Amino acid sequence: MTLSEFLLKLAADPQLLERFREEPRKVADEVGLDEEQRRLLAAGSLEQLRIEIHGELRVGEETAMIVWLHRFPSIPWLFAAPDDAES
Amino acid sequence: MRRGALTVVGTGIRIGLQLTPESRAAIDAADELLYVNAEPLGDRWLASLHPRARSLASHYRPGTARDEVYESIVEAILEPVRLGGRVCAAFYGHPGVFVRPSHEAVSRARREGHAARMLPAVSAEDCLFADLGVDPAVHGCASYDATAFLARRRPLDTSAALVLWQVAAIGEPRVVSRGAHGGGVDVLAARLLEAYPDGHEVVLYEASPYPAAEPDVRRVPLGALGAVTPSPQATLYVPPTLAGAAA
Repeated sequence: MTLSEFLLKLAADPQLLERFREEPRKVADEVGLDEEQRRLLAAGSLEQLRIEIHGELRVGEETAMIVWLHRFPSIPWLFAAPDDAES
Repeated sequence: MRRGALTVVGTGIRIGLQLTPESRAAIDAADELLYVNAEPLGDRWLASLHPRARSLASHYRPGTARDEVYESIVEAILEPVRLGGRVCAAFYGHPGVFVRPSHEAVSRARREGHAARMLPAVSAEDCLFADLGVDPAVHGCASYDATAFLARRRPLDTSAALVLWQVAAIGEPRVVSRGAHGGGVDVLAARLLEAYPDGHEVVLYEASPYPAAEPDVRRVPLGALGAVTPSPQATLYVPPTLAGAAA
């Protein structure tokens, strides 16, 4: 099972997530996570995990940029005159 | 014109786990689910929720001005509403927090005579309060977009907590930009150092979007903040100073 598949499984099953929090080794054995996947989930940084998942999902650089930048609000007034800033 | 209906919902931050029952019911009742998500894994999850789910990510064209992108998203949401459809539009986090197209879509739909509503959801700030153990009621809390904070030179009150959003995109006017992010953090640090001591510990925080993964919490003294490159979705939390809070 890939990490992304496992995380989607947890997303769909909060009870499994609780069980994973209480008995991570047992659940990891059940779903067949390998050592590297276990390490990433246990101690990996969010950024490492994101890189791994984006790799699994074959997310290209441009898509990755889009998904994290898309939420930023419009701030054109930064370069506008002060009177325009409150509009 | 047929009267359509629009419901705007938020998916929360943590994929699959922070969608409220109310929002889930709105998705189930809709003819079509349109969504914008910050994580490809979240896209997969959202696509599984409705047989007619469609991502709006294609509207984010590299180098395009945000105004243009947001307008095309609003129109993409309203198009099936104008045909009389029951549309659910889902946004990452809280649909009304740092999301302009959601507010505009609801407002425009109402002006055109359609039923439209927005449902509350879990925002990044909600996650911050939980993960960092901060209660905004204790000392108060001001919350700004980092660029707006600098550009409008908002007053600093060191007796209250300060939350600055989007510190990795200071002064970035484009919807998608290539290359390094995080420019301007030194300017932000200099502004904060006008009021806080350089040893004051601040927190670069990012809520985890993944089940079973911890949030990213980086504690740095304010004097060192200018040299730090924040993660793209980081929020800066500045706790109140003890002297200020006691005053």
